[in-house]
Amino acid sequence: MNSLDDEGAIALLVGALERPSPSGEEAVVAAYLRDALAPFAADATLDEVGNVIASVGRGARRVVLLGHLDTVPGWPSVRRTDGVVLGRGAVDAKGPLCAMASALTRLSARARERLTVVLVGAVEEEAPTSRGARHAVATLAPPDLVVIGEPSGWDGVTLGYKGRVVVRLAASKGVAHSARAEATALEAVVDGWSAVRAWARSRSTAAAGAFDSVQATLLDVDAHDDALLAFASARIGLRLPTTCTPAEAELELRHAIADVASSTGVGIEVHVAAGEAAYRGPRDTPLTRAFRSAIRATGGTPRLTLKTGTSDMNVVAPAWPVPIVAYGPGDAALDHTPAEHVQEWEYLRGIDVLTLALERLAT
Amino acid sequence: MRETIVTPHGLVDVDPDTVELGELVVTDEGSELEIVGLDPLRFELAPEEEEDWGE
Repeated sequence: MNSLDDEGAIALLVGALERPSPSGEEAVVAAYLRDALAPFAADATLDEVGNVIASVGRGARRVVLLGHLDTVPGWPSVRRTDGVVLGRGAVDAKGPLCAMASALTRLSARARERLTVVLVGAVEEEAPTSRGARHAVATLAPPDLVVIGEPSGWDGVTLGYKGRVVVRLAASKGVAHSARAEATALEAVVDGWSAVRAWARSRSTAAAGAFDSVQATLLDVDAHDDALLAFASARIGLRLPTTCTPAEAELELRHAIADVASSTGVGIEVHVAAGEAAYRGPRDTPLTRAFRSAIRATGGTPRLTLKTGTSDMNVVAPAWPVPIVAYGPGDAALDHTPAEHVQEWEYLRGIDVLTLALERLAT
Repeated sequence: MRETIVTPHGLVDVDPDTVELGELVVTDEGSELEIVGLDPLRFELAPEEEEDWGE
């Protein structure tokens, strides 16, 4: 039975890194991965939105491995040197995706009898659209178990991600002399930001960690005028815990901003982009058991993590209410940085853990 | 058949024939243990959840 050996698995990753794929431009790397998987998965193909889909096995238990093809922009030179593979996406998340693809090729005959493992290389995870994951949940048969390919470290398993929503405040007012006592459009927007920050703090207790708190971040501010009207706006990112849905956040923020508008006498528009709710999975499922025991069998002590970022898990979990974790080699602190790299030994250890976890799910 | 097993973290009630590697169990003292061996049964404290930045 064909399988990718260690050198082949590293070559697969290097080849993926050599094909840049910022969101919306994944076609070249998608074709590369499809062709690379064709000798191992006869049905390897691209779907309507450009996701790579490949499956192995014909068993009753259906496992989806969903990673993403796209990266944030940026182009650190791809290098393989001294046991390190460096390049955009080495961690987030071509490393985890290629580890899953490599594990897929290594499944035993017994696992192929008992499992159907479907690999999805999704487009546009780094974009607000999450187009690839949304298409996958709309078109693939519902699985029994899902693994999201994101960096957890080879000995870590991610149980959940915070939600997110982006809010834009906008105000306008007739241009007036700055000596006047009335609030300006910019002052109203600044007061609006203060109200959002106060709301975020009110939604968090002192004992709550970052995962269970609302985090508000001022992303950018703009102020200008056209001689008649002064305009001001602010874009605010909110990271949400499981206790606050995007809809609840929007409702409460609209009340808070209405109070600011009333006190300043300046109307403030609130625009809320569609967001994702937080997700936190249980600690003890067939999937977490398989990963914990696989990590121990590979020489590690398993860690369970909750991420303050957001991933395709936020999109997939509500649609597929089955056990789900995120797993992948790599240090998430290197996500989106110019120094993004993965140690070869960790990448290979991650493949071993994935392979063993799948084998355990087949018992 | 269920058995009560003594661990350094309290008593745990399990069925050795059905437990799985990686399964979590709670002792009578409230400690959460992970089953890390089946024959013989071995337990370790279950990992706590950590917070981590990023994706």
